[in-house]
Amino acid sequence: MPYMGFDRENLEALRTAMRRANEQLGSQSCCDPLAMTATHTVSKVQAALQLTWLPVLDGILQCMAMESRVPVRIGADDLQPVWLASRQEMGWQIVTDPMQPLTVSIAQATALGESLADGDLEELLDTEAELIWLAGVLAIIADEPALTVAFRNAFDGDEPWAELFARIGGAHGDAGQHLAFNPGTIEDQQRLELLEQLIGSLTMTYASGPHTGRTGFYPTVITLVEPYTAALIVAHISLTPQMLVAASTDILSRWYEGFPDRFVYPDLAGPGPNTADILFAALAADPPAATAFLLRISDQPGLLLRTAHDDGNVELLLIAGTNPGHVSAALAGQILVPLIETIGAWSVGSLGTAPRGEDLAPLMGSVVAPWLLQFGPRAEEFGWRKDQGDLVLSWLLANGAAANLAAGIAGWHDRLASEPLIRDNGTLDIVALNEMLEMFMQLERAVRDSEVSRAAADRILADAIFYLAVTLLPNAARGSVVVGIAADVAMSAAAPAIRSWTEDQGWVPPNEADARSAAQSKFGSRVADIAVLSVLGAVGQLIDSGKLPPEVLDRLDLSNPAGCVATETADRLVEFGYSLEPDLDPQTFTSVMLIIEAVAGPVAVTSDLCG
Amino acid sequence: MSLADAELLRSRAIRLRAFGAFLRSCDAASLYLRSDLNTWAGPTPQHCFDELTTFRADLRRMHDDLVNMAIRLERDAETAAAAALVPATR
Repeated sequence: MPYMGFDRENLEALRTAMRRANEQLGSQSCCDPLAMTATHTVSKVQAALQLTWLPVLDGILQCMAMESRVPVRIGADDLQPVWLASRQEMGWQIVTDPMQPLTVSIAQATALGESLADGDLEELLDTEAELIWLAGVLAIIADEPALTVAFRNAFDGDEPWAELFARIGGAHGDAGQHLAFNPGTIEDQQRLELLEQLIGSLTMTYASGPHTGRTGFYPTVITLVEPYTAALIVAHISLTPQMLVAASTDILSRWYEGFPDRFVYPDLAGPGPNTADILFAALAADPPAATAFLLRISDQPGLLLRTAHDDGNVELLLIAGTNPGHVSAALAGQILVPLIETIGAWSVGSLGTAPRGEDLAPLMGSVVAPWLLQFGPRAEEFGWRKDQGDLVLSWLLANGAAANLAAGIAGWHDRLASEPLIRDNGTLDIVALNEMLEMFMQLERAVRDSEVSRAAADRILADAIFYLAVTLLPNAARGSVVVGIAADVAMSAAAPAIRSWTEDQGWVPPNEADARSAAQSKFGSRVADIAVLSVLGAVGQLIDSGKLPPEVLDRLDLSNPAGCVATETADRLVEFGYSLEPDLDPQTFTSVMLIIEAVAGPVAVTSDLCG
Repeated sequence: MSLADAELLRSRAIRLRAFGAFLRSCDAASLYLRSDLNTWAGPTPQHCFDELTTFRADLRRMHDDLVNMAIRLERDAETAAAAALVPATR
């Protein structure tokens, strides 16, 4: 908390003058309408004097007990303004001040810079109150260029900066570890936030000023501090992607060097967020940098997979760095293929502290979800064969990636919306649709082959595929000859009646227990599921719009399929479609049959599924 | 307009000028001088000094506005008086 110093005699004089001024303002008025604004101003001044400042002065002068205004004695080693200490020597009284400073003068910024650059930081920053005060003042200095220059001028080269950063960074690391051991402690959380703010302001001040580097500013101070502090600095500076990658790689390599044979830095073994966690989170926030970083360390997978304490940060980095929004399939393949191969290799014979490949498989689920086409129909874009993609997908699913994969598949909703399945002339892009369906067939095979028996995973997968089915339909219908069926099919397919019907029929298990028995009792091809749900989406739309009675659903009998479920289901869907002909006008009927043909035709359902 | 109207405008202008003069010279306008670094220092004192300085500026601005309005009223009064005198001279 900051301090306030005052001369009692002068302050009493101020209070007297303020009381007099207040009375004087009350004694004068002007009732002319043109003086209304002036009268209002007078009232405002009077209110401030009466309600704010006179009570403050009374409180100070009458020594009213206030927790936030405690008398203090400033020591010579205190960081706060030296001149306040000198005033104390002249007889001023000093108390703590509950209000944060509003302004900092150039002289104060210079004095503070000199204190921090040359003083004994152990003594200057040894209390929480000093840290709070410093955080407030530094935030002001960092915001004001003139103050920043005045503050920076006190620092000659990187060394004094390094000392200051090391002090704050060390405290940050300690607080992080402490919080990890005592999760939920508010005091620790607040201290961490305070130190975070301090590092942020300090870093902004350090990084300000003219920089001449062609590819951007490289914060050279990071070479003089421990990797954890260096990571904090990098995380708070706005660097170009090239410099963020360079700095992150340098820090990570230095930190990880020799691990696990030697532990140089405490955060390597501690429980809280470590150097890698901080860097990965910073890189994930800058997707182009994330991609460049992943490519740069592609020959050192250990740097990525064996460093962070929180796998979530690795996952975020990988998702950002391989996001189809800005990364080509070839580039994603360069990152993901070696990584997957490494994880696969680690599944055999991993010892000690190194993670096993199986432990890393789950996080890869959400990473590979946007690239499922490259595991099958477009395998060549990843530089491998389809059967290799099959094997990898099966292995990932068998090792716990199903849930993340299914969650990641939800991202296809946006992807499908931006990747038109309809050509400019309004016809369906059959190649794209086939690739999509082949992808899901492959996924289905992987699920089957890897014998994913966990009911929860099965249920999640069923949900994801339901979601996809209702996504696929609007794409197929939009702008094509499907005039009678609006683009809002998804809403219809997700309607409670249809959902209930699908659950009754066992196409989407309603709960985990039923999912388990359903998974055991029948092999429900999810490609067939897609077909059924897609057709239901279209028919549900027609029922909603009154073009078909709800009873038409009775004509769809999917029970007791003989032989291959997928083929049998497709046949029954076609049969169901034809049964609607008498109820529909020719154009709508043609549209429905087009959809059925697209999702349940011979292209979609192959004997491959039925083995 | 009559001469009485002109007189009314003049008296309003006088009141506005008087109120303006008061605002310019009132004690509240100079309080900031007593709230400087010779009296106290710290975030609260700084805030107080800033606010008192703002009050001074507000009060001076009000003074200027009131004077300007008074000048306008005085001109209107002149016009009104002149208009009132014209028929009398015919």
